[in-house]
Amino acid sequence: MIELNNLSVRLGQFAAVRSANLTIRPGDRIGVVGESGCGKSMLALSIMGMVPDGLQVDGALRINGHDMSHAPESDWNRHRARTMAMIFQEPMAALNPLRRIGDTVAEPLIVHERLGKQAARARALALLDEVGIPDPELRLRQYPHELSGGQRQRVLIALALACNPSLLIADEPTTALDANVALRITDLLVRLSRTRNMALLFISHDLAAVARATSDIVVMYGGDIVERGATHQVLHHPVHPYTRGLLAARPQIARGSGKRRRLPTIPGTVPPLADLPAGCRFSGRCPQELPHCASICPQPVATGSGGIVACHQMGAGA
Amino acid sequence: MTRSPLPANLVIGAILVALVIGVALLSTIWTPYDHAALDIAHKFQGASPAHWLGTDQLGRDVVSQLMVAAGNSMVVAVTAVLIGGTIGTALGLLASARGGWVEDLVMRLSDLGFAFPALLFAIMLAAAFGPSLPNVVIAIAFINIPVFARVARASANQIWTREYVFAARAAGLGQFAISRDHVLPNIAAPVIVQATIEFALAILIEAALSYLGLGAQPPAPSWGRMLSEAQTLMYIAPHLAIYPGLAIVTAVLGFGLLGDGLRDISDPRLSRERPA
Amino acid sequence: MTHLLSVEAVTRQYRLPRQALFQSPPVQVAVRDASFHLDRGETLGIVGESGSGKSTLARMVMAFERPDQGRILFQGQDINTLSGADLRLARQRFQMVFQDPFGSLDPRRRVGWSIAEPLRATDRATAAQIATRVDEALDHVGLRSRDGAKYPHEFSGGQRQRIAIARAIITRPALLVADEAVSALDVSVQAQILNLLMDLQQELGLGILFISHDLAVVASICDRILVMQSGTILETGLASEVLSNPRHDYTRTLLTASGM
Repeated sequence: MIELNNLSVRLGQFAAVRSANLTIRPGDRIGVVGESGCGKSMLALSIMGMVPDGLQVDGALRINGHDMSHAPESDWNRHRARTMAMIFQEPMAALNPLRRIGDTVAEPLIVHERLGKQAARARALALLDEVGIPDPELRLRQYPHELSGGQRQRVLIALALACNPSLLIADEPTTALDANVALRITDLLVRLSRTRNMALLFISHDLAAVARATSDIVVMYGGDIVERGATHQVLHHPVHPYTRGLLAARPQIARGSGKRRRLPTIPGTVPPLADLPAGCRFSGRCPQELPHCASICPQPVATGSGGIVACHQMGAGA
Repeated sequence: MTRSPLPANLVIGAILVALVIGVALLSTIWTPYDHAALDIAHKFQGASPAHWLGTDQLGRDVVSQLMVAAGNSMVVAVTAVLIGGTIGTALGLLASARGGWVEDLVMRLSDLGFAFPALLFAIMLAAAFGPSLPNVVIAIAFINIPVFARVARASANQIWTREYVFAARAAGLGQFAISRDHVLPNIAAPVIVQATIEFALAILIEAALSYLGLGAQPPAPSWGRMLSEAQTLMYIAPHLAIYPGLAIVTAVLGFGLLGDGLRDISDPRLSRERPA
Repeated sequence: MTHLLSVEAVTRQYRLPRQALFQSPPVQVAVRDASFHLDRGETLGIVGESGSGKSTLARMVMAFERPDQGRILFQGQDINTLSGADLRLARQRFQMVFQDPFGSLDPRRRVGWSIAEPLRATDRATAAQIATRVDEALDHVGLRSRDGAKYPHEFSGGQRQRIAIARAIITRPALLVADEAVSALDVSVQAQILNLLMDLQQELGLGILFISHDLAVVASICDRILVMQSGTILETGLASEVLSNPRHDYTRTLLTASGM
């Protein structure tokens, strides 16, 4: 339904996203994980057609078969909110503090679906109820500052659902929330995805949340998709050296008493965009690096357990 | 990433200000004629190759007068704003650092200062101590103090909540050291923007006071006094009113636009830090 | 025996704006009757969510705020009875690392200058001595001597935290308070910084007070744990015990939420 084919997002000769291939079908729940600068947010924005000015998008992006590569803004506007919708990290910043919740949620209904005020209000009420906000009639009349962080995030989800999109992109939806609340928001997103047969693209650096919410996972590093597969498979049996390093670096609760052990780390840091190697982005930090890794880009190959990995160790020489 | 072009108001303002300041500086070493030289035989002349903008009722060259007046205007504006700005900023920093009753006292005093319109205060000073350019400077400096105190205090209050200030406190620095090392450099931008705007106002006020006869006394030329002298001569020599008026507009507009432009480029750059 | 840090029955409350003209204003209790202690070479973790009071506690330990009741003893001395000058001198012995790697360094100052700040504040060191100590500190945190001449924006988040740590250890303190020091960092960078803190603790014999909302992080680095909610300490004990046998439902919820 939504297909990315060799999609790249470039600034001049530097690629924030490089040759991404991804297919999202109705009802899919896909997580995108990676650290700062890996390109996951840029990937999401490219699906929404909201890549910042000055950046160039190459490759093919198809929405329901329709190639959006050179589509005019009006085409994009038809799809936004109706085919795909997006929610972001900071719930406070995304709500107009001067408007009541009810007015904010009703707006897309009035604008896109051309509902009258009464009908829009009724739908807004139903949406607030669907996202689990208690006492929705009261909330409709309130202003954003009267709601807690978790409730505001629910309102934003309701807003995103207003026109029944087939895909919901959630970019770090739980990062600004307390652990308790984050848990419930994550479960809400899963429930909504199931009941509406709506695809969910869950972008986060919180591996625990992603593990809970998704059935498939995409791992990104330096603009490349380095590994893809079933969530359980990738998290417990990672193949790509970066994925392995990332999972090993997670703080673990040491079972039993005894001296705390140092955490295994990935040496070095992510190089700035301009200094990324031309071949495999992870070269220079990889414990299993081969001489040609830095100059030749690894092509994605099947892992044998249903996933895909882009690593020379898994290629034709392995 | 991509550099956004400089805003138009900044560019235009900078050009106008450079023009005015350039003329003012030039006047200290050269003017076409001695600005006070009388030449009654050639009074009320229009523009000519000899006198580019003509002569006034006493035969004095208009261009020369405008130039020297520009110099006076700049000196008054810079001195007054510098004095008022320094005192005001220091008070604002003190109020922000100390908080409590000190802050309240400084703010109430500056409210009092705001209650005095510059003109009224200058007239009072002139009545008490006689009209003169130094008194104009004092008057303008005085009304600048509360303005800078307010701007400095508001900006400083924000800086005190920044984490690097907490870190400095954790390092054992006292309030004075923190104000000097961390707060002052970080409020420089809004203070400078305010100063530019106050320059514009100072020029206007000096012109107004001189127009009323309370500023530069003859033979020191001033745009304001040129205007008031030209008033009675409007039907004989209208150009005598137009040129000083234009000069005032140019200077005030220039500094105003410059201040606006500086504010435009400083706000987004400073309030959003770039993540590495 | 005198503990490095001893917090005794500390309470801190804030007065909220008055709701009605003739009623006394409501009071919000940020920290209620908190007690704990910490010794050198030990890491104590304080876990809690926003509003739990952990940050207020940190600020009181750092003497940025005074407790309304109770005492805070640092190396046996009540820090709130010290004069301004004595307190500033004492600060050489307890330091803090803040959460925001982008905000805790003055953007207008070179990094070396910021690192040396605690030394300049009270030490009578010469410029040459200061330069040497800055180099030492940079070396301790894994950065190079020439990094001192750069500005904060030239570094990544993880590197900025290293700089903040360098600043915190330059006076060779006995106590380090880390307030959400790794919360804004990526997982792999977080691991590096946690390792760094553990190494520094061994080398310098630091006592570390580690405050975080992330139970997994606290669990991996701390010997003992304190769980806080709404200003009260719910439970405390050895990390391994609290995590395998939580006594409170709240602690159990935190465990579930962090994926355990």
